[in-house]
Amino acid sequence: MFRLVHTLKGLSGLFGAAQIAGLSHELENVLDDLRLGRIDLTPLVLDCLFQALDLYSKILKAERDNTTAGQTEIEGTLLSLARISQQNAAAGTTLVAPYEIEPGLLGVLSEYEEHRLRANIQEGQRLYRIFVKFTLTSFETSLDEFRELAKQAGEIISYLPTGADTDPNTIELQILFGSPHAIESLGPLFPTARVEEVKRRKTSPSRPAGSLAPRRDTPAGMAAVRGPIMTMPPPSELAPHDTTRAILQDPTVRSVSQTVRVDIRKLDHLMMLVGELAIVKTAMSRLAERMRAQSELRRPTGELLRLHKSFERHLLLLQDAILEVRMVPLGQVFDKLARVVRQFSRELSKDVNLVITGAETEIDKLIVEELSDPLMHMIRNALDHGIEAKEERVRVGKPVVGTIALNAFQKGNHVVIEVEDDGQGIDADALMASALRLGLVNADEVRSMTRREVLGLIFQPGFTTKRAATDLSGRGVGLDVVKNNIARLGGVVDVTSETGTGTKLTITLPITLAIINVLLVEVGGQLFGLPLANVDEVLGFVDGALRIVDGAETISLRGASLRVCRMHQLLEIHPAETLRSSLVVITVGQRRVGFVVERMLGQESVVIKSLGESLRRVRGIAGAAELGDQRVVLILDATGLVEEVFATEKETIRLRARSLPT
Amino acid sequence: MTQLLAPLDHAHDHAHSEAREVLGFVIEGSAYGVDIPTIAEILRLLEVTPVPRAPSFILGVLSVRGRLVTIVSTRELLRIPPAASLTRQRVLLINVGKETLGFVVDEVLQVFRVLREEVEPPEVLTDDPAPHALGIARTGSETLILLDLARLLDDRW
Repeated sequence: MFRLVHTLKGLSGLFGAAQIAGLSHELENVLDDLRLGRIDLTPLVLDCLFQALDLYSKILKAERDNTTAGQTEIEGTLLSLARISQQNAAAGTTLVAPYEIEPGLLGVLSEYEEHRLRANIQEGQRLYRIFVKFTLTSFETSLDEFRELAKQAGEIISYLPTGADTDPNTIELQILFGSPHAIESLGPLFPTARVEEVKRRKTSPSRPAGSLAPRRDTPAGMAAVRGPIMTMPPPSELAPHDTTRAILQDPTVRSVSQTVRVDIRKLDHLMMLVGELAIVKTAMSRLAERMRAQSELRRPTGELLRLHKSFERHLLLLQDAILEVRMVPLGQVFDKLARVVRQFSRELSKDVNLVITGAETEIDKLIVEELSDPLMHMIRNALDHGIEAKEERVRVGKPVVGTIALNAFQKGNHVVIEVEDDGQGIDADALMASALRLGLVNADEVRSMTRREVLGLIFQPGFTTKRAATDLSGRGVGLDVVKNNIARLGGVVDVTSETGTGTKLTITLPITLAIINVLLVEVGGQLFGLPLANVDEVLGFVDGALRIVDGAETISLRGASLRVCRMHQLLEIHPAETLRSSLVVITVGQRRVGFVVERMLGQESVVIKSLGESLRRVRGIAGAAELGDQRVVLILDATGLVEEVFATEKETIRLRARSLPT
Repeated sequence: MTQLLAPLDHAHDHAHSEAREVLGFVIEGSAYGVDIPTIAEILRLLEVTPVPRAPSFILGVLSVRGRLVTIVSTRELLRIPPAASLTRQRVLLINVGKETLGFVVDEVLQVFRVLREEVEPPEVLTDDPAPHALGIARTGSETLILLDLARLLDDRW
């Protein structure tokens, strides 16, 4: 980003766009400071950056309209940007000032070294000056050795030749060194060197008098510049240096107070409040729309819309911030699984290595909790059915120790978790035979099934290939439960397998449950939301484009066939008259369906709530959300609906029977 | 949104300790009663969002101060055919198992204080009463069929 702004500055300078160049220059300074860690990304700074962003378009607009409108605002923002960098300069001095470091030394530090110096101070490290002499002939190697040695005890911030040495065959370096250790323990570590601790000045010059004044008026000045729209940031943000000082004085307090444990319900509550705010926001924009129609209200409406925009942006940031707090690494559940694997491999006397990657991948706390059981089940399954007995592995020439890989990674708005084993794989023929024996499929169906569909049979309720169920898996509770659990979280499970080489189960989950973007559509005159994450594209739809392929309605989309389903039929509601229907294309895993809806009404962020127990069994509906006007809109379960479309006739009937037990 | 409960019928106050408070309501001209402690709240019937594929006795969902409540038709649960143009409908929120359900009734009467001796067992009407029928209360001018609304759903799941 820094580079981009830099380029922009260069270009605008080239074309004589002085305002843009000026803005870019200030913006570049702030970004540079951020980049080098000289200032923190506080909400204050963020606001300023956003303001600067808005300013670009304003300058362009003013140029286009050939007016000088907004000149004051432009200057205001420039001023705030400049102040941020100045403030930083003051802050830097304040931080380093209490230490007895020669100004001469500070002057020659590179930007990075200066940054590291500050970082060390902030982390509460002690500072040392180390004087060490090297023979010129072996300078390179000795310095490397010294560096290695030093690395164990702390960090070398900078080294400079002292020049005080008179021997032409040696060179003396002064090394600025940050370390948590006391001077007594550093001395013996560097026997060839002289170590001095950099002391803090005794007369606690907490703030150089000079830096006090500008710092105090800077935030106030900035708030004034930001105009009446913004509220004043809380006092804690206004005086960041006070906090810094507190940290410096007592580093141990800092480490304790950096994290808080919060009940997830409190976060849910926060999320609900944000949801309510979102409702207020929508109502606000509706009001503005109504006001816009009246000419005498044009001016206040414009202001209201600007307010609304700013409100919306901050609300979005707030949502993101809360969502981020809810995120926890998957490692939490993976660690538990590692214990399970050890225990089960002992019980089954199979040697297994669990290889975990991506444990740091983050996902909503609620999802992590719900994942524990399904993952445990999948791992048991891999151990029990996948990995062969030791003798068998030896016989087929595999390593005696089997491997189960647990991989997690983020993919767009989804988290993918794979459970992969290097066992015997799934024998599709045996699978089919079992399914026939259990009456899950009939002979006709078997003939028309693809390998993918056959493998999918393992997710059927009541399915098992093993005649003797073990204690661990295959006793009633099967992979169908896993599939249902994952589906409840809005995810899908897929299976791939090579006979003889292994099986891979893949779970794809949304990162968070709480707030989702939905596409509002009308079906049977009723409003529904489709999770935008599942929507690929929306097209106009005419009946004439339909073709019947193998008994299913399809259209041809960019050369490929797309299965089409009329949403009202699927949802079993009466269609409403429509002039022009739309086709919403939804992809789940490798399946794609185009759903015909009567109308498209745009998109909205909603807080999704689950339906009550009494409606849990209704398939195809993921939950409901409240819109701005207190209407409740049902959110469709895109994943479930796509699967239904692809389900065989027989399955559909069975599923219906299960969902409506009257 | 909450409608205040009608004032108590004080006629029998303090006379008997074994009185129960019952909310009287009407469906298709008949008066029914539910025990007050089972009722969480009484609401006006606002626009309910229908849920496709749901059992027919479920009318839909309604947001009550941000909480989703499933609304059921008490008529249908009592196997009374639907009626057109009812204007005084109310929703009784009642906890059933783990969730709160809203039972729609034609009209709410008032709170009755019913004495123990005023209640007859349901067997006076039929040999094999349904589990949701608690008895018949004769109080003053009104005869109420006492219901356990939660049990109306017993055979519906």
